[in-house]
Amino acid sequence: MGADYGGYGSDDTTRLFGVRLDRFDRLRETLTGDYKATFGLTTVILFVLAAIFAPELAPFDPMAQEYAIMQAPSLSSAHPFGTDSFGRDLLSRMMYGARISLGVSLVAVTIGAVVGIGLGLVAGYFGGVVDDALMRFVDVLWAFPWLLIAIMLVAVFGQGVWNVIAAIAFAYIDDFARLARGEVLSIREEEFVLAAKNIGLSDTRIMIEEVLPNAVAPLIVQFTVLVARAMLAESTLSFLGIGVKPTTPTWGALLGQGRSLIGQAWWISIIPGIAIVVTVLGINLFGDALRDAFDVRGEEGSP
Amino acid sequence: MSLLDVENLRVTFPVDGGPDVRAVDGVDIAVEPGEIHGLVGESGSGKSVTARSVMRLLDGAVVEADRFDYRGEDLYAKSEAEMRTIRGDDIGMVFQDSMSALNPVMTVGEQIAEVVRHHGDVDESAGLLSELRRKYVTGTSETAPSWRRAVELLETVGIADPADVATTYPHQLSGGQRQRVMIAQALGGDPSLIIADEPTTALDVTVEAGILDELRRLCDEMDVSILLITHDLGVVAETCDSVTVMYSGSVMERASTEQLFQHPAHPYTKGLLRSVPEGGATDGELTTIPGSAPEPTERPDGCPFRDRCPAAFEACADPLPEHVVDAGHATRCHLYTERDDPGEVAWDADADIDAGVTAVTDDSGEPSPTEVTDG
Repeated sequence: MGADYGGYGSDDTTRLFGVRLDRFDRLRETLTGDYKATFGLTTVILFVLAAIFAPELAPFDPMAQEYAIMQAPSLSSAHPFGTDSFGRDLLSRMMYGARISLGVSLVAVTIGAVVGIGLGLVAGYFGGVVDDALMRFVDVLWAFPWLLIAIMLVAVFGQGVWNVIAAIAFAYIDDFARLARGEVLSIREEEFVLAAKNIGLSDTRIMIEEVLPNAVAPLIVQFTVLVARAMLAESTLSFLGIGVKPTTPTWGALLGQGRSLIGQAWWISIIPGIAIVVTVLGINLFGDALRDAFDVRGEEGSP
Repeated sequence: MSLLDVENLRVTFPVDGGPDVRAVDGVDIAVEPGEIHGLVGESGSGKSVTARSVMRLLDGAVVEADRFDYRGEDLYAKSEAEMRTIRGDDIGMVFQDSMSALNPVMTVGEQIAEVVRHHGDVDESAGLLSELRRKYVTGTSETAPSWRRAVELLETVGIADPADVATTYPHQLSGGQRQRVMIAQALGGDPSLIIADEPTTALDVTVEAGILDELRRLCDEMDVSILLITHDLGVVAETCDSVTVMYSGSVMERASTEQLFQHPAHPYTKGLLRSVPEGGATDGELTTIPGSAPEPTERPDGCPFRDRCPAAFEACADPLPEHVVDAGHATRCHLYTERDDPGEVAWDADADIDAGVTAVTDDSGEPSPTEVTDG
């Protein structure tokens, strides 16, 4: 009889700091069982490590200019990715750039997700006037061009990491709000919500403890898609020169600076371009795997 | 004192741009401690609405009653916070469709342990943060008292391998197992009353018998009263101590199970009993009550059943009376209050009813044809 339950036994439970690890069996299986998921996870981990340990790992100071070797091509002896037009090491700049590009997009999308999911959850769960009021507010957010907000923020507060984060987070609130609301609208009609009321849970608890876990799968996918888009958005802002400080290396800024030199030194723009593409792809694949792992109802390992 | 004592319950659903729908129209219901009380009626008779009004969870409905006492205290005078304590703690609820009434993304052990933490006697925090940690990250530790209690409850409701089953998700269980899980969940707060809304309708008869036995045993051994909603007189006969028969928002008859099956008083009850298929091979059609229940907005004045009743007469248009047949047996039929001798209801005149016309005795004692609404 016990064999029918997908190996969820209680005898062979291992723990780490009191956390039951068998809860993560699914996640581990999904991430290791599917080569796309493995690739996604590995990529994300590598880039995050490169970003975190940039000061230790970077072969050169990203700001150090060497006029003797301006625009040195890739794979030249000391500079595996070559140098930019000021003779700065591109590999080092890429690693430092990852801090901004990954950090900004993760933080911005997290903020957007928390605010957006909160709004969508409340709107969808209560419906009626609350729904109307909150969603009209979200419509207003949506109608505002985020680029305009970014320009406005930069105009008022000057260039800075937090302004970029604010502009991007602001732009993604409505995506999360709409998705969460749509999910909640159908979930709240399920009988287990009524059952939860019947065991005496308050509305707040039902929203967070019972309804939200059922909406997690699509929200995770949305999160990873938007992290990818946020990286592009950050690149766009840097490219336009309204991102973080111009001298700070970010992938978008590197791409933008290399653009005019693409004839002479293609690697200056191509390498950050490839990095953006690979990261976005990795995050998306990782997101798909996460969704599969969280969806306890679905078929296992289906891509 | 009755555990649950409701008098003259009226539940109305306001409808935009239409007449209000009065789903329950003057229902009395009483559940005694330690009994299984059946609430029987066809679809749309208001039995579920009646039961759910106890939990005060009828969204948008106007609920009125002359009395709505649970343990002698008016449920509708309580604050929402007090009601939250009563739900799950004093009164548990079991739903018909166990697949949709259990949260699909949580293990069943988690869902029972949650009720135990909220209402039971365990020394564990049920604060928002600790619950979030359990639900999103760690799960309830299987050494925690609430988890152990959950496993115990699963065992109580007759689940084999309770420790294994506790770690499964609802979709991994069979319908019968899920129904037992729901009963275990309802028991999580040590309630005095369980409202079971058609708990066996979605199950096949073998599993149904098992669940009903379980309810019977819980009632006898754990001192829980059960309000069992069903449309199946077989379930009532097997399980209940007493019964309330509802039809189109009103109570038709109230009796002990024995009285109801031995001496049904109301023509509707008689018609229902007559429609129960006998065992063994039958040729020909099953017996039915001709016609169908009226829409709540199109109920006739007086007795809602009079359009389909073979014994209907003028007095049936008057408000429903209350007639005590025997100790613990009451019916709301004019035959008993307006007539010296109610006589036999002409339900056995099959051929006549099928033809849409039946002979009934009117006040003068002479037979007269009465139209019976056909569908």
